[in-house]
Amino acid sequence: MKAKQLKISTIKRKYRDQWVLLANYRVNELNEPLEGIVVEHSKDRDKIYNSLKQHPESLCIYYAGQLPPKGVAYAL
Amino acid sequence: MRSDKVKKFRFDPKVDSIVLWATAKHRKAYQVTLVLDLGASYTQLPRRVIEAIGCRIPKRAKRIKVVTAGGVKRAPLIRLKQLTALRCSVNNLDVLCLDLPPEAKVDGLLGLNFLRHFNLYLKFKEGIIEIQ
Repeated sequence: MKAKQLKISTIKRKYRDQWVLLANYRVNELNEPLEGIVVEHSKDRDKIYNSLKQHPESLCIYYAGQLPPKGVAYAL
Repeated sequence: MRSDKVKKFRFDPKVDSIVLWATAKHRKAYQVTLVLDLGASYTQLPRRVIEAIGCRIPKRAKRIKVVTAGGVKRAPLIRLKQLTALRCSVNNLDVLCLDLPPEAKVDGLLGLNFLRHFNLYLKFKEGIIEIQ
């Protein structure tokens, strides 16, 4: 079955709090993704990073959750 | 041709961190999320992302000491063909190959070595970023 182009609002809902790899994506002027085809998804970031090389096309790495996550602060 | 036009973007001034989308380009282009970090000397991307976009990390790549919140680490510094954020691009940017902890849920940091190519104004009261 051919993968479907999904809007980012649908991806956020369907893959909540997961890391998602999007192919064939479209972005706005701020480089924010608007839609794309989900080629990988996982709660585990390392699984997503490890799968990058399996995809020959350009990709968007998207975390479908709150940034920074609730209860997390960045001190970098 | 270089544009000196001021670009304006809205952001929520109440957020705990400013997270931006960027395009890291070498042989391939990836969209990644970076935290705007005025305390970071270098822009930082994960090793696996750098390798996946076709940028080789030589064994003898220059390694620098990086003082992070979690301690001192050594990380390779490599040259990326192009990084674009806030509709501004820098070619041949030196990037630190270093992973943030998975809990960060972002891919890396947008540091001073990118930002210093521009004039950057953070207007927190208005929630506006201006970049020129």
